[in-house]
Amino acid sequence: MAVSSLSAGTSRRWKNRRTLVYLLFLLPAVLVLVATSLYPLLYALGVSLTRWNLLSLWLPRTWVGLGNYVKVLQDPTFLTSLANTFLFIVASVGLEFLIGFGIALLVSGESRSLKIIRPVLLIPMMLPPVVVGVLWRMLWHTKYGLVNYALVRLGGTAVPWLASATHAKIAVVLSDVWEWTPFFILVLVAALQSLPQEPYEVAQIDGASRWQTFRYVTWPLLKPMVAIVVALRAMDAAKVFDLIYVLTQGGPGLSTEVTTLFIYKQGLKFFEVGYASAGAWVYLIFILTFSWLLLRRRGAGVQV
Amino acid sequence: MRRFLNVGRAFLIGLALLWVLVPLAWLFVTSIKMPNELFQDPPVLIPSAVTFEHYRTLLSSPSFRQPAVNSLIIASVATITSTVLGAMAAYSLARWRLPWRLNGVLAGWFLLTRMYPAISTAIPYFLLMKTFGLLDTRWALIITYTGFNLSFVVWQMLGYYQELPIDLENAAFVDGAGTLQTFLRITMPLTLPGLASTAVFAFIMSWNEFLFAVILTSVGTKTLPVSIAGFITDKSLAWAEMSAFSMLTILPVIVFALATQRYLVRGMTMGAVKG
Amino acid sequence: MKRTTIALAVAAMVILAATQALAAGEFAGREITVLFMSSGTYDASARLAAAEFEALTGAKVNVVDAPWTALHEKLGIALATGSRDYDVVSVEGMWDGEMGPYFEPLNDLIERDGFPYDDFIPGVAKNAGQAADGTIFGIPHAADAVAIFYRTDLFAELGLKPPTTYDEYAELARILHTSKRAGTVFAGVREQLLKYWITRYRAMGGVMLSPDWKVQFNNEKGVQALEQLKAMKDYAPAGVMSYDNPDVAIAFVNGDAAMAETWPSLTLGMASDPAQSSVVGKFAIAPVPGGSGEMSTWHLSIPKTARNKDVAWEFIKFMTSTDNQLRYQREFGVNPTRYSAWEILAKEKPELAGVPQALNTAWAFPRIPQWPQMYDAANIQLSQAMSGQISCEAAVRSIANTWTELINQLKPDFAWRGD
Repeated sequence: MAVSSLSAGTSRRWKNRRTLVYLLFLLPAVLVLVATSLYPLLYALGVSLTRWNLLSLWLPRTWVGLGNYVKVLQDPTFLTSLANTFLFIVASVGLEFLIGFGIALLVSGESRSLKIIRPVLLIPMMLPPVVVGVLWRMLWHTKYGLVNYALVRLGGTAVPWLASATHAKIAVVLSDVWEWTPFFILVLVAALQSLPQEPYEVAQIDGASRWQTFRYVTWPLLKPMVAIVVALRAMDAAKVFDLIYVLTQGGPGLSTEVTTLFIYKQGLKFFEVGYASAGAWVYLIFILTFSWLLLRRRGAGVQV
Repeated sequence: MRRFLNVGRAFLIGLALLWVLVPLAWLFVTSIKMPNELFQDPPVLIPSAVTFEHYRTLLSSPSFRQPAVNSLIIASVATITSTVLGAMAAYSLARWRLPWRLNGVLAGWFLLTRMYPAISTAIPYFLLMKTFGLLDTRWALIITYTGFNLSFVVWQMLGYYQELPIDLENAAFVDGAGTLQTFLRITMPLTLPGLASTAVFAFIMSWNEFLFAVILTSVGTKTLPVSIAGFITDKSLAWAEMSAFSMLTILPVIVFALATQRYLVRGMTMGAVKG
Repeated sequence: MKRTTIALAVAAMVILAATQALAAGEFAGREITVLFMSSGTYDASARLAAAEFEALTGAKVNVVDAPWTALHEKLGIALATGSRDYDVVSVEGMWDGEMGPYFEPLNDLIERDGFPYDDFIPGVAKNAGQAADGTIFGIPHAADAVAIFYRTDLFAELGLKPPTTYDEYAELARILHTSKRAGTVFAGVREQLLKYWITRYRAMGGVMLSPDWKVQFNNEKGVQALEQLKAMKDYAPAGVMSYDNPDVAIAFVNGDAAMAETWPSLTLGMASDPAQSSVVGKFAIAPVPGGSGEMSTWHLSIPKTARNKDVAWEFIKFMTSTDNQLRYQREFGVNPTRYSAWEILAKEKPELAGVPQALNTAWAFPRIPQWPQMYDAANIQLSQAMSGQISCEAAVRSIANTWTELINQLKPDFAWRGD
């Protein structure tokens, strides 16, 4: 990691004083981190080893060791939710990347109008996901929604979006795509703008076509950054909750039940906090492994 | 050929703009529609009569003002604490060479907190807040959001501090300034734009958050997103009122976001891309 | 002599005035918080009650409301964390198994104040706020039984009569179904499916559970009932599987469906309001085929951790008084739960005369702690079967297995009524 220490004042007295200040600067944040992430996670681990119903206290509270973990890994609802989450991540992030990249290429110039258009395109990702959810709930409505209206006007037929198992999945993915494609636009535009000029000049001198320039100059330069950005977005997509909570609550059937929703329901609807914590830990390991694999394959690029 | 490509490009950009703006326009139009035009098949695109009734009612009603005040206080305080603590920590990591490559480890730990799913800490948060008697207090969310925002703030500011030429600070030091003074007098002013935009983003994230807000708050302290979700009521689809509520909620966010989005790339991508 | 008389008279008047003032401002300066379901009806009645109670006693009443699912979570969390936030809560009878022990027993208060608890419809009271051992922890303030709404004009036109069996109902839906208007509509969203299935199963003569809590529907009748429900999709609006109660109401009052199988208390108000409904005067309500629909009851309870139990009890008595129950029916369509209220109401609105009897014979789900999980598990299976993801047999079998497992976690110590 790039640490640029001060070169002036390196006498022992100054060094000690400086170290003290640096320590005091660092400590509060680390303490907050311990309190808000390390401690709760360990607490959850402890709770996950018990059977504990928070509301119905007459249901016995007992130590079950790894019992909750065994049970949750065999729970068909939990496993379905994992599959749904995985599908959701792949579909949304994939679409967001492709569309976002396309748009980024279109709007990465320096003209005045583009400088105004770009911020506007970014609005959806700044909105509270809850608002995106209620908005799209109205838009996807089978009878009174705008999407079916547009479809019918363009010659198609109305689709029972949130009412059918397959279509609900599509609706949920597309709502997320609307919200988060701007993330890729923002980041990829910045990335494109940060690329060095020389390779392009060389390509032009060599008489490369636009496609060849893209394939042999732009894309290789972008790859490391793209990899990390896609991985980051995928990790964020794994946390999806607000959107599903408002759009479908996991239905119809289990078609849009994602793991975050499953854990929430177990813990705060059925009050089985032990079971929910076990599910949460399994999910945590699942996501971290997934992220590690993603980041590892694509190699360095992170300025650590 | 060039002209054709330009027209094509303009067309596609226009489509993208429509894709973003049409749903937002729909939200606004819904918020001003009269009740009899809300549930129509085919939907009414241009209402024959409009009413700003819902906005008037909401702005004077505690059902909006109470959560708005809560959101404002919680987001503001959480932003201040996370920005201050995060900037300080980032500065320390950028200037202080720790043994055992701890710099990398700590920075990595901040990264980790962004990566894991928040739901993993939701249940223990609930249980812990209950134990400490902090449920349904604003402090519960302030502490939570400070924790959330730290990783973004640290990574954002880390990049800025690493890139700042060290000579300026050295010069100040030689002139007799202490470490703290150097930080306050030299470093801060130079990185202020970065800090400001980081603070804005932290504010937006706190303003928008839902999961922990719905778990940790109740009657007195619920925030705007919690109120909005509450609109999926059991009797009538209060679309117009819900849309007005949503418009009021997103207005500050849009304003802030438009002002600072350029600067946020660095933190959002953990330094992979320089904004 | 005259002076003494006048003095006495003045003194008497002063004392009289003073006692009146005391009664009027009895709870001045006190404040309670009450929790109701958001529905446009129950919460609206609460707000009306709050305003009048304040005018009468000086106590300030804060009304908090939440939609059904969120209400359960909110209430559950409040009770589990020993919160002192709420003084009066409106609880759905379905949650009694989970939450009953958290509420203040009211038997002594009922006796002390001579509260006419016997005036409440027994069928309702048994399932709302009453524990198996006779402890009363809630006073029912609203009750509803699923019924069939139908368009009298369309029925007259085609010479049809309200259905007496579900087969007739299906036939009616088929006849009335056109490209412009669905034959019927129901709430197909996951959270609402269970009652439709069980009602059909019962109409076939099926029994949910045996007295010793063994599942009884894992058979042909159970599967048939589910197939029957699934077939209704063809005669309902295209998006019916995402319809919740409000969507059903809107579909019916907009004339988009000729019949609706839903809750009268959530639909009647809208249907009779000319500003929102295009079917005013053109509809009627019939009991579900097979006689008894599922009952939804709401009772007012006082959490044991409430701060102002005395004011809370007075509020409950106030809100469930005969006069007020009539008020809420007239204003919002909320069904009263007392015979004295129904006596008057039946004369006023003869079309509702059959309701108290329907309420008394309606059936309700088991009030045991595991119920919410059983309810959710069943709905998931039903929803999957309805959307064709699994077969009806598989769904019924899975529900039977899950229920058996959950019931065995803590076998109730009282017998099931056997229906």
